[in-house]
Amino acid sequence: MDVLVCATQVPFMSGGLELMVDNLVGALGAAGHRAEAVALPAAFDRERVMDTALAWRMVPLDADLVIPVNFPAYFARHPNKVPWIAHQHRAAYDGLGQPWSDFGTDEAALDDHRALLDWDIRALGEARERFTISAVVADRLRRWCGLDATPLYQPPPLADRLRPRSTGPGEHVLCPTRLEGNKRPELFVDAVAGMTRPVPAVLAGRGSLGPSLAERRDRLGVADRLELPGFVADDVLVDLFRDAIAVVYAPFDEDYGFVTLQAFLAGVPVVTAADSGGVLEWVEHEVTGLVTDGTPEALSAALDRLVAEPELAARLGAAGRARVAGLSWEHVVTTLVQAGRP
Amino acid sequence: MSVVALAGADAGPSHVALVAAVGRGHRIVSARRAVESGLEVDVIVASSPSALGPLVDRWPGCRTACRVRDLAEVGAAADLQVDVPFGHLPSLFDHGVLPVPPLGLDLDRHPVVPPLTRARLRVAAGLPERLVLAVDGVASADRTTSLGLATAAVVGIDLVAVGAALGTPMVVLADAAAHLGLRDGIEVLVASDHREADRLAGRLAADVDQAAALSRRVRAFAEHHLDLAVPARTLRRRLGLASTPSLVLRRLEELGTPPGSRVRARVRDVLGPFPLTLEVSP
Repeated sequence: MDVLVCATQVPFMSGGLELMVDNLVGALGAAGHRAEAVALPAAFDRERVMDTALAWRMVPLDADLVIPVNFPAYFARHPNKVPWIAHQHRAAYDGLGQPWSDFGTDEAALDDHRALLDWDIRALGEARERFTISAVVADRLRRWCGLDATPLYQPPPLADRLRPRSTGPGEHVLCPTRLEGNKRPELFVDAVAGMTRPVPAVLAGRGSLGPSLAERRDRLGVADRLELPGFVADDVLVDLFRDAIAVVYAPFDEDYGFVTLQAFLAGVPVVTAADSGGVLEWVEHEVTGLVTDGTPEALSAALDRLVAEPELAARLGAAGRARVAGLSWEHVVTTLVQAGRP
Repeated sequence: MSVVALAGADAGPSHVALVAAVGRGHRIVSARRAVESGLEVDVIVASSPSALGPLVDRWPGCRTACRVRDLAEVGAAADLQVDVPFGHLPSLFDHGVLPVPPLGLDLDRHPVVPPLTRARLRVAAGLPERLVLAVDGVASADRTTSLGLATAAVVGIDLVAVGAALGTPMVVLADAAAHLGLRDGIEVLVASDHREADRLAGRLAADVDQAAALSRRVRAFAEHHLDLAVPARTLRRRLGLASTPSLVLRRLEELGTPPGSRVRARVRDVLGPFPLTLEVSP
């Protein structure tokens, strides 16, 4: 089967979605299909956000099956369209009211909001079948667009390399994330500063908040034990996961969150927040990790607990690893291709 | 100058809406007014052959469209050399009659308001987060606004088509559902009496998933069964009132993009320098 994986990309930005596209194209190829990624650039400010949607509507896509993975790639026009949705335009949905959403309540914004939702419902409604990367994304689609979708989970990047350490407790607490507002990396800095059982800590990743986080760390007096290495190579990241006591991942209403699955594959428990969205599909309190109220104090207490009780950390980490053991790209490819068979 | 004349004393609201959609961008007058004012008319859209008959000789060469309701009227329209007979009875479609719904609306003038946008509109208007309304009587600006704001609404028979167009999560009585052919649990919730209707509307407002599904399906129903914009576009083309839309405009139409929307303005901006990219001459 000839398959086109359609994605929208913001120039000069790269993250989980691009990895997902690469992995899907690779897995389709491994399954014997001819697969390629097609990407159109997009801008997500309200003024221009519909331009790429219309552009997708006009692009010829000569293939047997088209798999769009995000807004507005699912505006692609094809009789055999099976979206596997990572996210819609969040500024118009769950991001309403957040500082990063430009959909206010003035007349123009309301009109744009109405138009965007109407288009979304039509473009997604014409799909043969809809899948989402998580139950959180499926729930949003049902709640706001009145459309059903099936969650289809994927293994995270580095899945084949992440292994639990062979012996002993971990050495540090870890937060690998993009340093952007919706990921709330400042919570980790504050939590580390508030720990009563101080251990080394690593906040790995890059983003626009990097300088302010470094300043925050210094101000809180934890520069000696909280490392901010910026971007880390895959080899380093694998080691960081392996040697972690716990991973903190507490973004706001995350769509899916590879970090959680990577931690579990490394046999490491995850500390998260009750409003972290898709992370909670995996982190079950005192089963595979610890769910807090998201305050720095609660995160500090959870980390202290896992430092003090290494057997608890080991048990939660093992349960997490068992929880993600069944994830495979073969299943993802089989499901999507089956849905798109003529 | 193209003037579209609305002909027929028996023309109901649906016919008026159709003529408004057909004549968009052109001057629209009643046939009586055109006669009294001595206007030259290019197109007549008549509600029946009997309404059209006296006007044909008045404006020879004028292009005509005429609603027909049975085979006799199809014959009468043919005798009058009507360019486009239209009607709603499927049995007439094989006789060259253009399908036009009998209880239609110009959906371009009633863009859908999805539930989440309704919530934003309520925030902007300082209204309660959850707004359950009973909306009855004939269509008016106030009632249409209410139908576009409601989380859920109990809607009377005269407004159910407008509610459907706006994607209002609706509870209706059996007569209103039967009026348009709406199905219980699919496009609307059907109540046996007003008390049950109020109770169901309260429950529907609390059930976000069901409200979203009903909103989406009832709008789709309106587009398939009530929309006058699609036949109006066909009528415009066949009456020579519009050129053929280009691919980009057809794509905008299939996404239900209203005429005044921002994305249409941006398309005009972007394609403006390129001649013949927006519409293709007939």
